[in-house]
Amino acid sequence: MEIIDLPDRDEIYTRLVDVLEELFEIDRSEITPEKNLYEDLDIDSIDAVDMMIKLKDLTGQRLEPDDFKSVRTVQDVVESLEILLKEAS
Amino acid sequence: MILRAWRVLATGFSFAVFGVGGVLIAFFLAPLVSLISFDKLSRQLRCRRIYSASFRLYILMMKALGLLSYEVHGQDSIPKGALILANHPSLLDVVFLFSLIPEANCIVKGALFGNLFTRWPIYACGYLNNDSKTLVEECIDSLAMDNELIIFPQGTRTSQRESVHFKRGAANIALASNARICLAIITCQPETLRKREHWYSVPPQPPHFTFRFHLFSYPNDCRSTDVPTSLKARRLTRALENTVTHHLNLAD
Repeated sequence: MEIIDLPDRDEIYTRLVDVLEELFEIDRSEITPEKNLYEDLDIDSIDAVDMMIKLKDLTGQRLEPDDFKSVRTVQDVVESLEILLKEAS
Repeated sequence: MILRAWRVLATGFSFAVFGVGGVLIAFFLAPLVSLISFDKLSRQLRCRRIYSASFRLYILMMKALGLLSYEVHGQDSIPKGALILANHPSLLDVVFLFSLIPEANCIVKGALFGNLFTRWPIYACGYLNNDSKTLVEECIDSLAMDNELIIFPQGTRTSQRESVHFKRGAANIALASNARICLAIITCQPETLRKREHWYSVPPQPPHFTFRFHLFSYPNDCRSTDVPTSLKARRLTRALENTVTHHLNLAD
């Protein structure tokens, strides 16, 4: 299972890094899965909404604030998106 | 020494007046105003004017007691319905700003909505809750009604000696409302009533407050349509921080 999931997860991660760079001018090299969005990457609640709107293109469905309630790190976002994509498929 | 002891005493008295006055206005005057006001907005504006006048009196009282002195520059340059962004060195900044701008709205930290003594005045004046999910929209509506809106973008009291760091909410509200921005540069020499400071630790000399109001023009790259708002908010915040730092250095 892990092997099939891996490329997907990488793609999601790359797409997320693109979004973070495009919307917030965060240097790609600064982004790692463990980084905390709010503390390390200086993202605020308004940014988080913008990010969700942008990520909507990726998942093709509306993202609800609740989907990201427990999200703290870059990896959390990737995992949440992965679950959403699985549910959608 | 005697002078300083007098100031400790007078400061205690001032705090007591603030507390008692606050209770009297909140529980007697404000409800009275509600009775004679037909709609919410006129009630809120009347309440704000009452608080503004009380704060003016309060500051005159503190001045008369020899607790502070102050000067104000550029008050005429505050446009109606401007977004007023202020640095926040002292507890008294709020009192001063409300006294100078009678009908201003303000963003208030969420905890004060739960406080028994502050919640009623805040409701009566229609101030905005920082924890509200629709805060940006509420700010846009308020500015659209031509009421000035006071924000402390540092988020909390911060010594004027610390480097200026703004939260980006203020810039987002500015960009979304397209309101004119007026900076309130506040200095207080020597600093007083800072965070974690006891009321009785009065400064060696009575503090002198200076309020300077400056119109701020948006940088050009904040007007461009092909830049995402999230980036514009970052650039505007940086420009605001630099301008405030510049004015604070000049004032130093």
